[in-house]
Amino acid sequence: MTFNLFFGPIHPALKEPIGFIFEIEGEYVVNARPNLGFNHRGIEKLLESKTWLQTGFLAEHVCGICSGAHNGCCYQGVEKIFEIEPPRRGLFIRTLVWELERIHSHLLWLGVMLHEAGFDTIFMYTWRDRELTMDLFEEMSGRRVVYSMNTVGGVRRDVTDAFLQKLKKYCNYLEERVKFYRELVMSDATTLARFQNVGILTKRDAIDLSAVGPTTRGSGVKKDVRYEEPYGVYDESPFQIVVREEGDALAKTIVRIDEIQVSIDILRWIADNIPSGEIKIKFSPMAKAPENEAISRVEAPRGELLYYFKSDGGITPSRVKIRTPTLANILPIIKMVEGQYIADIPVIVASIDPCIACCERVTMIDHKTGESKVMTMNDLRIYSRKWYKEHYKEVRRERL
Amino acid sequence: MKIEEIKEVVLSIDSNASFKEDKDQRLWISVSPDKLRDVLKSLKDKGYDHLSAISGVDYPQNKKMELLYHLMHSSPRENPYLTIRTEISRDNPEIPSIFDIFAAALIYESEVFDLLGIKFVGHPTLGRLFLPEDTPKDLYPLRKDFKNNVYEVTRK
Repeated sequence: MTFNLFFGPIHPALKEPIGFIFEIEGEYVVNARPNLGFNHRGIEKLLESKTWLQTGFLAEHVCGICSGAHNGCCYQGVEKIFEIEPPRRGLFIRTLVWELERIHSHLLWLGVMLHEAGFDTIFMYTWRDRELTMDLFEEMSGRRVVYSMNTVGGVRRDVTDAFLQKLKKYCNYLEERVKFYRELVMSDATTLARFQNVGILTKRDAIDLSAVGPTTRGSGVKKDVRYEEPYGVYDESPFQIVVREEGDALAKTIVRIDEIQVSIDILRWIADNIPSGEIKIKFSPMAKAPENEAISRVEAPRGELLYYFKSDGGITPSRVKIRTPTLANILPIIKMVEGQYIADIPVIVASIDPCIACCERVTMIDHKTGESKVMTMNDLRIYSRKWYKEHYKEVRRERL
Repeated sequence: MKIEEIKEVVLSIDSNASFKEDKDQRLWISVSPDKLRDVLKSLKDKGYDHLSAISGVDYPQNKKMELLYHLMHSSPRENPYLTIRTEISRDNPEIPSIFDIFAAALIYESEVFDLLGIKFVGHPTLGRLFLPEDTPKDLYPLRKDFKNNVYEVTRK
């Protein structure tokens, strides 16, 4: 006899909402059915009515956390349609935004992930460090979340030398913090109990399900657009792909922490090597595109982001297709929760970094008696912590 | 795999396939819809195991719809990024599902069906993915002749 456990639906104010129906047997999850679309806004359709210059300003509202990736990826595609190349200083600043954003996104995620495991102290620590990234963004672009830094053929704002000095100082500070977080996650009893051997995605499954981003790199698959098709200035930068073989939630955590370190290295290299010169080339707001089509790919913090542009020779695109990384990682969640405890659902769903940790309500329906029980996400979180307190020893024995 | 090898593999299945290379050394291949499954299968056997996305485009003036399958190789630095395109009629948009070749197609095909109304024959759970389940049956927002009448009614 299986029960259906409704996970979701929504709280649109914070992160992207999603629903799941988990089929459970006793304490184990047997199957999961995703339920998407609570925040579908029709942006692909709306993009068809925007001029080429306007597209990026709409595209960056697809996601608040990776707005820089969407904005940059969109304009990179438009540049491919028009067959123009931004100047080198523009590309450097663009890459700077992408990497700074990766740091801010991974720190945010690390806090949420440890919060799901009941480790709220580190949640406060990582969000404090993330706040400094936001301050840098504010100084650079005037905005903290949606930066609008890119434009067709370059970037809109230049960076000053004083800003680059500040950036280097921040890198030095963050490097120490990242070492601390890494050591903590690797050695702390709470994180090991909640992350190790939980939600394993095997290498075979990661490839078969076409998963992307840190979710695959935690399973030993080398998938990273920066490595596959270096865009921006990644081919010259000291970029190194981070891969872990284990495939559990701990491996995904370590991959992301190590990626922060790689981003710090790239930011330092950018601050030292940024060339002087123009930041953008002239582009008419009402420019007519040639009849063309292009694919633009960017490694967003959550994985491969793909834009497909089709132009029929007008001042607006005739079709824009957006494939966000979270959509590609929905099927791997289903594989990862199979055979796991209910108490592990928050950690496993959070481990792909889906921006949906705010699923507000959980309904438990007992099919035998027809009774249903409504739990909030907070209740489930408290339930999972209590459950782990009681079953800690047996679970540890079982997993190791 | 070099571009010539890929051309050879595709041409051995669909002799009418046409090819286009763009500036980023990406290869665009047009095949006929009834040969699509065989082409994708043989490309997967050659190492193209990552399906990035399926995009659908509507061309009402030509009375056709186009599907694009974006594929990546398992060693992507040595092999070009591929886009397989195929055209189907707009009056009866149907194409065989490829979920048994690429499992990720389960979710991407649902997305295309939801927004463009292309029917994937053999797909086990084809239905609305993003839009509410009570959306009118013939309402597909990414089609070019879609009118925003839902909102117009509420505005009145």
